Amino acid sequence: MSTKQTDSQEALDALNELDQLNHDLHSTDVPAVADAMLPETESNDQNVAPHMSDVEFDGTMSELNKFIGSIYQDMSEINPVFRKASEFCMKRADEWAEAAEKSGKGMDSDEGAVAIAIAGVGIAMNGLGKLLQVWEKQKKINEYKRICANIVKTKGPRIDNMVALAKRAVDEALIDLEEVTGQQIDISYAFSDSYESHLSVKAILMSALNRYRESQYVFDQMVWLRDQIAAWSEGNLEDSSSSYPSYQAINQWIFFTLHPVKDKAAEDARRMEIQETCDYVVDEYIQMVGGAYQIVNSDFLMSLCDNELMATLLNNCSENTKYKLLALYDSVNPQNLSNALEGELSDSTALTVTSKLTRNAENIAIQEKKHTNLMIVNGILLLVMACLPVIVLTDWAWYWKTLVGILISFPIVYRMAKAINTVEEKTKNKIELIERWQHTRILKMTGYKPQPKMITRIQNSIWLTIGCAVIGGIIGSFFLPPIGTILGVCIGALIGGSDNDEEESDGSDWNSFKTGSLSKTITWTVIISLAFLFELYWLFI
Amino acid sequence: MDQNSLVAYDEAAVDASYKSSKFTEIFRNARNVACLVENMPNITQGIKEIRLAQIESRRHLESLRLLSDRNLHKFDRIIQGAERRLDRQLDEMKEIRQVMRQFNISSLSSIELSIISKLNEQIDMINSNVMYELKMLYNL
Repeated sequence: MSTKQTDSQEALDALNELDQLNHDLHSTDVPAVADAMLPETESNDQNVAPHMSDVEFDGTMSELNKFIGSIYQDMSEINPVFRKASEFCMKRADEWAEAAEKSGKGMDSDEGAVAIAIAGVGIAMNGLGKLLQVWEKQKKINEYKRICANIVKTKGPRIDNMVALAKRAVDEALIDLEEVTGQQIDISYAFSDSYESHLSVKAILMSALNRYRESQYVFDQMVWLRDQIAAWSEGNLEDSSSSYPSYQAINQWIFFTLHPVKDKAAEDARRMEIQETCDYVVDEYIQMVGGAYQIVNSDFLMSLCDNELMATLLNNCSENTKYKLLALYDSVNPQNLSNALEGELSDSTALTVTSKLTRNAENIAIQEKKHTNLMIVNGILLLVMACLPVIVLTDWAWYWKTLVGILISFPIVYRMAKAINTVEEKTKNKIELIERWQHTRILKMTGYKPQPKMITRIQNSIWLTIGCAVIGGIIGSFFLPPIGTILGVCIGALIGGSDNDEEESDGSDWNSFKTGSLSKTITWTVIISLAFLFELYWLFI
Repeated sequence: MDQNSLVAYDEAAVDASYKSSKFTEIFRNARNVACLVENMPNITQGIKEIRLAQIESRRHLESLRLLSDRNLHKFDRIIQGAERRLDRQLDEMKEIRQVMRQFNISSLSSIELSIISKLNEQIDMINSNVMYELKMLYNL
């Protein structure tokens, strides 16, 4: 090994030792590390949080957010308490008024007087609730204004300077990002036996990317605060036109700066342009991973290696492009990687989540098809079983047989159609929920937290089914007991129903949504088939 | 606000700032990776010193935040000094980044790539602490 190589290796070892310093700073008390490394450093630190994260930004802005949140929470709690108290009083007043009517003296009686008094309290409660609500709201707003005024007074004069400092940091980070992007990079090392060089290049790219992302976010936060301070100093509650800092917007900007859309035309054409760009990027990934290029543009390498940018791509691409990307992901065997780029795809959380949930949705759709096919078979077998005795055992005229056959067929066909419809609805809701969860996860990875939406949960109602069976049995008993009773119970049970509950969900509970048991339906197919064979034996042999 | 905490933060932040000035001096003269390799013992020692000084400064800043709820009027005093320090640190970071930008990824050997990427990581952490301080000042 030459002297130059030895020196380089020693330099690298010295830098690697710094990783240990980072590890120690994260895992132990700082004073211990400081004492070991720098005896002259005085430190009595007991509780240091050495690494920066967004969660730590919980000062001024989130303090205000929490405050605003508490206003709405208090409002929602105050109102129902008084409304409930008011409703309770009015209900009691009704009971006393009824008693007053029964006494024959009407509202002039003692009961009537109590009813009037309680009703008065109920009305007052309702009014007081509303009054308190207004008062509390005003009180909270005044408190909010007081905090804002304090911030304006203390931080307002300096905010422009701080925005300027943050702007300098972001400009510098942007120069770094521009420096590493657009470079032509030899990726032949990604296909070699050792991925060391790939990891180094990736680290350099990711470092520039993350520095820009972080600096831009801090700058956006400062700008937002500056806008709010300006609004507060004019006596307004907020400046709603100033957009709240979002990593999603930053990631969107980065992705489409790395992979610019060709035409910045009208808005409706823009969506198509974005999707076509995403499709082009995925085609390039396929070529890169397949080893078609030796030299690539660093922009493609950067967006392939970064999970947030991969999520941004998935959030903007068309369904076809998504499936193309998933096919590429699925073609990679994590146990037997043939190059470092395959490793990047395999490690992508955005792709892993999308692939897993897409497969789940597809499997559920296939299962539903099998399920409904079996239900149709069960229905047809039941229909034949029910009509066969009428055709074989009775000597009625053909039109009577037809009429009775139709009457018997009706509930069976109705129930079959209803059951199939329920399974289809449940499956549709479950798949919608999986897609929603996929969307939520991807959006979160881009830096945005979507709000949950409403979904219908369909549940089989056992009590409704039992109720219908009992009513059917009673009605049937009036006509031709015991056959009418049995037929009535069967028809009632067949008609039975399901409950629909509306609930809020972000999709994370998709697994708790049941679509109906396929194994139960298979069991019923076996039972009905055996019963049908028994009937055939009984009728014809 | 506790007067001692304020002084302690001020001293720690000046110390961090002084150490990053010394570190920048080493970088200023590096014209290629070989220069960096040659000065690596000084560079790694510089990184250690800056990181520890930054953590010290952060610790005081965080303790100030806990005390600041009732004393927002003291904010002005902290921020005046902090502004100057951050301003200088941003200048120093800019110089370091300019030196780092000289090294084109595609023209580096495997070991040089590793050195530059590791160095990048460390400088990012220093930069991250500067940004953190900027944010924390508005947490007060």
